[in-house]
Formats: sequence, C-alpha cells, structure tokens
Amino acid sequence: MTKKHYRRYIPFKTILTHLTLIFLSVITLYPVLWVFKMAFSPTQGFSTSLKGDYTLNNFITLFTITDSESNLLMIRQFWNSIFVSVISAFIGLVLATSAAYAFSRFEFKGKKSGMSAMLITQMFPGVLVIIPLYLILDNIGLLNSLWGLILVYSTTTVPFSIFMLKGYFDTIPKEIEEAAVMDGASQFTIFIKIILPLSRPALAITGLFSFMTAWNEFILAATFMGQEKYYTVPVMLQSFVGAFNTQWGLFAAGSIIVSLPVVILFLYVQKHLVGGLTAGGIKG
Amino acid sequence: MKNKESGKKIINISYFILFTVFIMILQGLLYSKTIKMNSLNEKLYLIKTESNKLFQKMEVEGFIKKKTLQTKLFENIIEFKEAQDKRYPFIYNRNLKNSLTKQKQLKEDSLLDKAIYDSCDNHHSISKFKGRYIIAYSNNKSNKCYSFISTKINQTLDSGLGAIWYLLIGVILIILVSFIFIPKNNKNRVILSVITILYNTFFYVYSLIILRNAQNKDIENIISITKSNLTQTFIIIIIITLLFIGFYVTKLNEKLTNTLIKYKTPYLYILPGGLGIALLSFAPLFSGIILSFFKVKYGNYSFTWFSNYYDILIGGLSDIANPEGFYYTFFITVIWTAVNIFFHLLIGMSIALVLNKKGLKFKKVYSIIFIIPWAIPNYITALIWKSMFHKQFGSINNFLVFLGFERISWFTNTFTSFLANLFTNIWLGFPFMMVMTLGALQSIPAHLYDAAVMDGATKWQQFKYITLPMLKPALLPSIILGIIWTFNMFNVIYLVSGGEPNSSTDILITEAYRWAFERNGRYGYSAAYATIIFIVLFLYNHITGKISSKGEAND
Repeated sequence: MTKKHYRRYIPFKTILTHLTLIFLSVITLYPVLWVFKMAFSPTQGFSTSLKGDYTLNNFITLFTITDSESNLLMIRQFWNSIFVSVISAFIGLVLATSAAYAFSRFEFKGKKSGMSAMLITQMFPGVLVIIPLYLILDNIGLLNSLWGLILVYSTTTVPFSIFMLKGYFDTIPKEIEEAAVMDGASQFTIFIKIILPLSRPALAITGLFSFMTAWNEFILAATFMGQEKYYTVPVMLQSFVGAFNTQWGLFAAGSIIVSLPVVILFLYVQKHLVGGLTAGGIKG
Repeated sequence: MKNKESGKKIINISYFILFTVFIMILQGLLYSKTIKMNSLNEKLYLIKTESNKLFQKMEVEGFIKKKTLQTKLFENIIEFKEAQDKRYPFIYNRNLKNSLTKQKQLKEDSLLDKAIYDSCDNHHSISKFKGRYIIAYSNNKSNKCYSFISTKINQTLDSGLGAIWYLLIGVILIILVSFIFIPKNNKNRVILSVITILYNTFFYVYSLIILRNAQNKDIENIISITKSNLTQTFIIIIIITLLFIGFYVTKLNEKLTNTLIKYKTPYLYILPGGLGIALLSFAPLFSGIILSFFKVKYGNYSFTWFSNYYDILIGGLSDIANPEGFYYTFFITVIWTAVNIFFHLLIGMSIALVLNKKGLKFKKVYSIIFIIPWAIPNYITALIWKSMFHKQFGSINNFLVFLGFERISWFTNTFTSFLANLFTNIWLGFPFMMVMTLGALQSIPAHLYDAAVMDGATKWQQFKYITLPMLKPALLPSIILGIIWTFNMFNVIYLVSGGEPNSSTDILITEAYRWAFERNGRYGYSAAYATIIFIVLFLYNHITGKISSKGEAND
C-alpha cells in the first residue's frame, strides 16, 4: 500500500532493532575494514586512526617481489594456487560424480558401510594424516611438487561432493532413465547423456566448493612445500607475518586479492551448501 | 556323480594354488635379488670401498699417480692447490659444442666446480652432486687436494625397471596356467588373474619407491637400506602368500567373486573415487596408527609397542600441570569447544531470531553482512585477528586505551591468549549457526504461533514453548557438526596464539602437529596423539549418531 503511511509511524521497537543490527554489523565488518586500512596505508605497520594517507604501494610491491633468480614470486604463487585448485577440483569432481551416481541409483552390498566410511573421512581433518601423507609424498618424490598437493587435495573434498551430488541425483526422476532404457540406452549412456546434463548446476556448485577448499587450504601446503617458488598463496601470506617478518601491509593487500573472489563465490553458493552440510555431515 | 565332479574340481584348484604360490615365491626371491644387485648399489658399493682404499693409500704415500686411479668409476680426477680466494677457478667440462645448451651446462658445471671445491674443505670426504659422487682427499703437507668425480649415476631407475620382466613372466605364467586348468565358467579364473596382477603391481611400485629412496640417501645408508629391504621383501612375500592360502581355505574367494560379479556396475562407478579415498585418506590413517607404535628420534625408527601411548596417557607427558601434557591439552580443548559452541549458538540464534521478524527492512543486506565472516578463508581471518591483538599497534589495544585501560600483552598470559583465540573463533563461527537457525525457523509452521496468540501466550512463552522445541531437532546436526569443526580448529589456534605462552593454549590437534614438525620430528608421539584424537572423535561420532537417530525416532 502506501509507503508514506508507514514511514510516518516507525515504531520505536523497529528503530531499536535496526540500531542493534547496525551495531552488530559494525562489529562484524570491523576486521574487514581493518584489513582494507592496512592494505592501503603507506607503512608496513599499523596506523591508529582511519585518517591518513592512502596509497596503492602495497599492491604494487606485492606483485613485484622477486626471488634470488629474479622471477616474479607472487605471480608465480598465484599461478600455483590457481593451477592446484582448478585441477584438483576437476579431478575431485570426476571421481565424486560417478561414485555419487552409483550411491544414488544402485543397490549393492556395502552401500551403507561405504557411506559411513565417507562420513568418517569427513570428520577427520587433514592434520591427523599429515605425517603419513608427508612420508608417502616424500617416498614417491612428490614433496615440493604441485602434483603432490593436487593428489592430496583432489580426494579431500570427494566425500562431501559425493553427498552433495547424491542428494541432487536423488531428485532426478527415475522415469526419465526408464524411458531411455526402453529406447535401448546403456547404463553408461544414460549417465553421460541424461544425468550429467541434467545436473549441471549441482556439478557447478560442487566444483566451486572443491575449488574453494583447495584455494583456502593452508596447513598441508605449508608442510609439504619447502621452497618459495612452490608455495601457494596462503603459505606466502602467512610468511609475510611470520616470526621474522612483519609486513602487515603486504599481507593485507594479498589477503584482499585472495579473499575477494572466494567471498563472492561463497555468498553465491552458500545457500546450496547448507543443505549438503547437514545431510552429508550427519545423516548419510 | 555330483560328489565326484566337485571332488575333482577341488583337487585341480589345490594343485593350482600350490603352483601359484610356488611361482610367487620364486618371483619374490628373484625380484628382491634384482633390487639388491642392481647397478646402482654395485657402483656405490664399489665407490665406497674404492675410496676407502684410496684414502688409506694416500695416508701412506701422501700422493698418487693420476693415471693409476682412473677407473671406469671415476670420470675425472682433479688435482688442485687449495686456492686462497673462493672463485672456483676451474671449469669442469670444457668441451662444449652445442651453443644452445652451453649456458645451462656452464651454470651446472660452475656449480659442480663449487661442489668439488667445497669438498676439499674437509680432510677427506664423500659428497654428492646431481648424481655424481665426489670423493675428496686433501693433503695438508703439500697443500693439495685431490677430487675424484664419479661418472653420473642416473640410470638407477632403469636398472630397477629391468626387474619387471620377472614380474611379467610370472603374471603370464599364472594366467596361462589358470586358463588351461580351470574350467571356463569357474570364477576363480578371474579372481586369480586379478590377484596376480595386483600382487605384481604392488611389488613393482614398492621397488620404485625403494630405488627412489636410495637415490636420495648417502652412500652409507644405501647399503643398509638394501639389506633391510631384502628382509622386508621376504616378510611381505610370506604375508601375501599366507593371505593367499587363507583366502582359499576359508572359501572367501567364492563369496567375493559372487558379490563382485553381481554388483559389477555400481562397483565400477565407485572404483576411481573409492580408490582415491582409500589410498589418500584411509591408507594414511592406518599407517599413522602403525607409526604410533614406533619411536622416532632423529630419523631412526624403532618399534616400541605402546610406549608412546604410555608416555602420553600414564607416563611423563600425562602431568596435568604440564602445558605440553595430554590431559592439560585435552582439558583446554574441551573448554575451548564448549565455550565456542555456546557463544556461536547464543549469537547466531539471537541474530537469526531478530532477522526472522516479519516486515524487517534490509533483511538481505544484514544477512549478507553477517555471513561474511564465514565466507572469508579462515586462515586470513586468524591472521587479521592476530594483527588486531598486536600489543603496540593492534586496534583492540587502541580501543582499550581509548576506554582508559592499559595496553594488554595478549599472548604472554594463558588466559588472555585463550581469550584472543576465542574472540577470533566466535567471530568466525557464529554465521554458520545463524544460517542454520534461519533455515530452521522458516520451517516452523505459522499457525502454531497464531494458535498461541489466540491462547494469549506472551512472546517469551511463544519462544520457550514453540520456537525452542521446534528448533532443537533441526539444529542438532549443526551443533554436532560445529563441535567437530571447533574441536579441530587448527588454523585459529596455530595462527592466532600459536600456542603461546609455552603451548599452553594449544588444543589436541595443534599439539599433535607440533610433536611432528616443531619438536625434532617425533613422528611416533605425534601419530599416537593423532590416533587418540581419532578414537575420541570416533566415539563422539558413534554417540551422537545414536542421539540423532533417537531424536528422529521420537519425532
């Protein structure tokens, strides 16, 4: 109806609600503002107020850091991160899709125990298996190698992806497949030609999630990569503020560049992830 | 008639099993011999003995004629005076023809020069440079140094690959014989072939790993590696053979083949993903458990049964007052998890309840703002908060000064350090609970509230008797999940407080990490810690699984 009518009588309660929410929003956003302030300030330390000079120096320095062989370090590390995340997300997606299809469409021995095995891997973080993985990678010569990271990353999100995709495949009506079987299509043709095209959005979201997980992973990369040129961005960012180094400005600039794409991606896929989290995390 | 037939079959198969076992043992023996005798080890062994002889000779004679030493092992021998400046005055390989590779070659040669030169720093030494072994002997009297540079040893993998023929011949033999002796429609045919192939692939990969290992080690270690490798190989052969026999005696094979054939399609779909998870999640988990029975000190492994567990749970590390001790850390972990979940729920639910109000403006904007902490990668969050807790410049201390308090040195005191971790994680974790609550609130049917209003219930009564009971089952999975996440929140602890002071704010998972990577590589301790965490989480999962299924049954 008429907006004006409402506007005249804003109840005190509503104002109070908004004030509380705004206050909480400021607290929530404060660390973000703090990073922006650090990133655009001309010094490597912190400044005390929001006033002061603003420069792009940190961003410029960040991308012109070179190693002893005068290669551009940060650009290489960005490439490392992109390379590792994209390839491991792709491999993980391929592995998860076919497994999820089996879990969704077939009855077989070990289905239940298979699902609970997936659950177990979901519960235990990478740090628990970090030593065996370290020794394994050392043995097969993939320590200090991007392919080693890809190997590890590509399977970490597979269980979650299986849960997500199984949930989606379950919603695709079986009648479509039955019709295809009548026309003489094989199981594999159905999977490739019918199921996959139908579940494109779910595949995209699962793939994005795997990508983000690999993109944000820190501790495995920090443990397995010993040389700066193999670092992924998270490891480099941490090294800016390590024990002997406090270049907060560079760290802030780097973290803005790293976070911005994933924050936007996350806000985009968040709604779809929530369902998968509880379904995959607990029920199975 | 029927009995006779089946009897015949059993005789056939048992003969065949004997044959297979025989072939396998033969293969294994030949194979382990090949690994031992591959040219890498021979060469290195020779280099070692040869260099020992050289050293002895030089000790006696002081110098030696260059030509008598030139064997096929040593590509070049360089004699030079110990120069005063460090410019590495000679180039090892002077005949460079191809100009394209010239620059790269020059670079590598100058590095080799450096290695040769450096090797002369010691009285006599053996060092390694890119597949070559440099044996140096320097004579103090004549101020001369002799460097023996071995030929490049990089064909090691090839010589290891040579052994594949034993494996291939074995595989072909077994499959061939199985096809002759086993009737066509018997499933043993398939499974035997699969087992033989797997067995041989395993050996092949195993040998590659050993050779790879050998390449990265010093001469001293390689000989011991091959020795232990022989016994290892032998033990593995015996175990596999026993498994193989046990498999047939218990007739497990028939059951297995039947299931495999019956559910062929789904198993094929699962195979790639399942294999990946098995190799990179479960195999490390189990090898971690095995590792927890070993004591590791300076790279030496020794099997010590439960001594790591004893140390952690009963022995020296169990002291509750010791911040590195298990019970202390466990206590911190439990408190950490409980307090975090409480605040996550409190803040998350309150915000969700406010946002759920009908007709609230800017609802979308608010919910996006409140999700942001969840969206930012958590290692970045942790580092941001670490900077905010900085003693001199951090914004939190600035705020305290603004309010008229003293600056706090957050990470020198256990309590404040814990608080810093806590603030970070509360900020990080409440959006998840908020989102989950918002979802759950929308599933509560509105007519319940209408009925309550009709009955004259107050807002508080509505919340207590409708909202809360309806939220409980919906939120339970999220709480269970949140507890696991917080229990394992490595990044926040590791990056914000870093366990400071004296690892008193470490939780179990960071403590386990430190034992492995920050305290002289005590992998055994760390693995035992990890196993204990695994057991705790497993029990937790088991219990909560029962609770949540009970909840569902009640509904």
